[in-house]
Amino acid sequence: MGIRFKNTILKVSISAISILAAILIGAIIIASVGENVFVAYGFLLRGAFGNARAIGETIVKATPLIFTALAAVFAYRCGMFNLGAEGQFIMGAIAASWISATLLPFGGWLNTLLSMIIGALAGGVWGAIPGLLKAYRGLNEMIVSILLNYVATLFMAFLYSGPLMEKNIPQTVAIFDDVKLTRLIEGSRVHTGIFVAIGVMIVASYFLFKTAKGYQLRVVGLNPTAANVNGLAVKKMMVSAFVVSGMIAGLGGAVELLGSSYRLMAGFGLGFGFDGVAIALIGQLHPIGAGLVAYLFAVLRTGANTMQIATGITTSVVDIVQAVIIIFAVAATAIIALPGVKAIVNRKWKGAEQ
Amino acid sequence: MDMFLNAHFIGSLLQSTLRVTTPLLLVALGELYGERAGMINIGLDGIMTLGATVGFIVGYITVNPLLGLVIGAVAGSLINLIYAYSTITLRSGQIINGMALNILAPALSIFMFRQYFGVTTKLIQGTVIKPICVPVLSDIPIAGPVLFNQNPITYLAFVLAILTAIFFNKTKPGLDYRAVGEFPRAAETLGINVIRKKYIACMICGALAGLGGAYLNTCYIGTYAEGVVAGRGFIALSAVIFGGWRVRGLILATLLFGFTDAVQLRFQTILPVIPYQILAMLPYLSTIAALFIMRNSGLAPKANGVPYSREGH
Amino acid sequence: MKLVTKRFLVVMLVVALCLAPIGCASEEGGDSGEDTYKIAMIANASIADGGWNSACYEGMIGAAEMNGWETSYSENVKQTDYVATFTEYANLGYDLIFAPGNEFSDAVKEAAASYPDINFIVLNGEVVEENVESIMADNTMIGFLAGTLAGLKTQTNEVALIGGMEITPAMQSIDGFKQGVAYVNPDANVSIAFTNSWSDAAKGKEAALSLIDTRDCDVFFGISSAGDAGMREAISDYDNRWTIAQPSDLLDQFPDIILTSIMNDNAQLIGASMKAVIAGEFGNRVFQGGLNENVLSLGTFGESANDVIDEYMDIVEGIKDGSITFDYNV
Repeated sequence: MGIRFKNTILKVSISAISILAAILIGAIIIASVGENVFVAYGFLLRGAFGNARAIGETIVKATPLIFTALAAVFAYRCGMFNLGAEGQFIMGAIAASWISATLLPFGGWLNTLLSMIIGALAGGVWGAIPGLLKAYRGLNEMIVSILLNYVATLFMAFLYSGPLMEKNIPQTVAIFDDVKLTRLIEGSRVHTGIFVAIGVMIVASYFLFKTAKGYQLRVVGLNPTAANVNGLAVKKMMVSAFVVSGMIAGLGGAVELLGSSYRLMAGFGLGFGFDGVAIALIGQLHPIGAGLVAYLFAVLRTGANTMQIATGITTSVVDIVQAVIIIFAVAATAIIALPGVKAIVNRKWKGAEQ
Repeated sequence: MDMFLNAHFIGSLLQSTLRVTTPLLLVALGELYGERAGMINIGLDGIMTLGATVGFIVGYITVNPLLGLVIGAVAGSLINLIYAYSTITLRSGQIINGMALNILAPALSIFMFRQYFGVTTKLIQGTVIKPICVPVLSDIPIAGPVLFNQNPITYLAFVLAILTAIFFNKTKPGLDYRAVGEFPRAAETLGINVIRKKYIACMICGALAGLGGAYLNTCYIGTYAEGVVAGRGFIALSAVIFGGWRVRGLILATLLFGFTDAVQLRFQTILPVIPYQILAMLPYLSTIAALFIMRNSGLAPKANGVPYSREGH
Repeated sequence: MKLVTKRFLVVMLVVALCLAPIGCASEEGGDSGEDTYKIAMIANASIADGGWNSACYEGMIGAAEMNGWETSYSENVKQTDYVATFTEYANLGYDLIFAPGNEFSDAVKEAAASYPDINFIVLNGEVVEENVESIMADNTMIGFLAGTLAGLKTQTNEVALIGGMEITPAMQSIDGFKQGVAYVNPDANVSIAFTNSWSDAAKGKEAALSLIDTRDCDVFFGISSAGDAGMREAISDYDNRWTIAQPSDLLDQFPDIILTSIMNDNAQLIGASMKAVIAGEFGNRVFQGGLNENVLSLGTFGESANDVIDEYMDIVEGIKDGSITFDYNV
């Protein structure tokens, strides 16, 4: 067996063990609240996988998370912290909503496509701001992108209670029916947006690991100080990484609008950016890994929703379980990277091979 | 407009600025202690929430808001040990652990609060530490209300800031401390216990973040509502970077935010034609603008965010 | 090395033990008879926000107690999850699903179409179907009641309203408030500030102080949930500043500054829908409740309202008998 393969097996099994451990902790919490653990977890599984509708709902929930997670992966791979995916997501949705609720230059799917392109561009422009400020003024991209989240949220609030308001209700006008993304299964809300997400995931994965440009990007990301020798090239790379990251998030916002929410209102996009960063990090900064973890998050949340409704266990307990899962997952991956543990593991592998 | 440019208006504007600034400054100082030891903690918002909740509950039960403040700080320090263990000993990512705190701490807070008070329509009203009003002096125009009519914790925050500046720049332990965030390996060879210093840094960071949170519900206002922190932890985080990891910069950064926030609230009534959503952007946009003009980056501790191991790995 | 793993296990255990005693108090029993009716509420924020959602939640609990129903709720539900949460309750056989806000309208339409046997009520909505009713407290009247009292009481002719965010009920109350002030006191000026939050009580305090500094406002009406608490604390440090509270009677908390409270009893609204469900008459109904429907009522008057109470009660009677009217612009 190759070392690489072994490492992959190790990583996957460690993730699995940590998730199991977190579920165990969750069980203890649930039991201490006086509920039956098996019943509660039964509802959790039923909520996520119980029927076609449940499975579809999980996918609907995973779709935006995949986008923001990919946005985070892309920036991280270039050594940049994009904490502004939420703002870029919102700006993408704003642009898409403006196109698909007011202007209709084409009919049908062409207009859907246009909305998505405009959404991605808007996200890219919003993402370019921290990228440019970082590259040419040396401003810390983390805080600029966080601050821009607030600005984007307020801008959206301004639009849905001002220029784009529907009658007297503080929300934007719903997009036209023929622009909406097609639903895949009768009785479920799952829409074609998931294919867009998977497509972006595959393209990002191919780009990062199979192309020369992607390789360059990862080199910059691994060691920005050493790569700095090249000066301008690195700056350009920083900006373009941020632009692409923003475009992915913006596209995500457009897809969420076109496939699920159909209009903007208070709370749109809230928390997706930070979720994306957490997912990207747990997914080992690999696009496919991020996609899988996004799905896992969606499973947990859809399931937790059902569990809460069916058993009355408060949502804060579910949140605690979720945080514990994150802590365990990253702690466990970190543990196997510790030199001592690594040595033990390697010895074990050798023993197994003999 | 000139009806607003009188001494009373300016005085109260600056007074309001200091009130808004106080929790931000406390938490930003905490983060400075963390980052000077190489620990970036994005979970400040969560720690503040726990500090606010614990502080309020303790203050309410004992009718002693001061005790609430102290216990709030202790709670912040304790919860940050999870982050410390995971990032220092296990060397896992700092950002992700901070995020986990941002989910964990508020959830714990809500859970505790509801276990104690249940769900009520009326917000629970506790006691607060009142501002100290120095007689006579507080009547001086502008300077009076700003300097001599503030909450004791506001004075504490600024005294702490000055002490912190002296500690980091003028004392031997302070320089040692900074070495942990700059050149941990070299520090270790000089006999500094880097791991221990990092743990201490996390405890100070957690304590100050908890204190900043508890300030909200024991000094600023006397009620508790879920979500009372409202993103202040992130503002404090950005103030540290904005302030160039220096106390002076940090004070300026938090004051700028406090000032623009106080200004935008006044603009809402002076200029009602401008939608409030646009005015509310002011603190964030002016922070970015100030960053753009000052462009003081390069001062970051060199080993900031980098996991440390003695084995040289 | 091994030590590290060992330590990690120990910490895991400690964390587990720490979290274990969290839930000493157990949930109320969930088992129930088959024939009990069930209602569920979905909130997009905390149900303990001390404002809108709290009032809705207490309304549901009150109505359920009066009519012998079982209740359940989901809080902090995101916009993307509205439909899923509705269908979840529908699948569990809930008889009535309560959506407290117009922002749920799209999701209610969708869920109601898929589950024709389940009944939905939208608070403040406009949707009406075979299995959907829209109910609302008369928010414009709430504003008008507060506005007239504020306009009568003000000595500086500057009155203030503090809002959280621009949502429909808030805009209706603001519209009513302006009309109310203008009705009794055309010279008075209305200033409005938003805290841009439902939970930031400190911002409410700052907003109130800024209104005092910039306009010398002396009567305040707060519709910003937690922000209102901060506002009350701010003005209680001053002489001759007052406030009108909502949605429940808060006089005992701040007897010196509260003129009166405008109480919003959602239990009446929800209870009416419950009765309709039981009688099999549910659906296709818009119901707006004000003073005459006992949905709105006035709380205890503070002593500071003594000088205007007679004049004010005439107005309240006028609103009740229809001799005083106002417009619904929002």
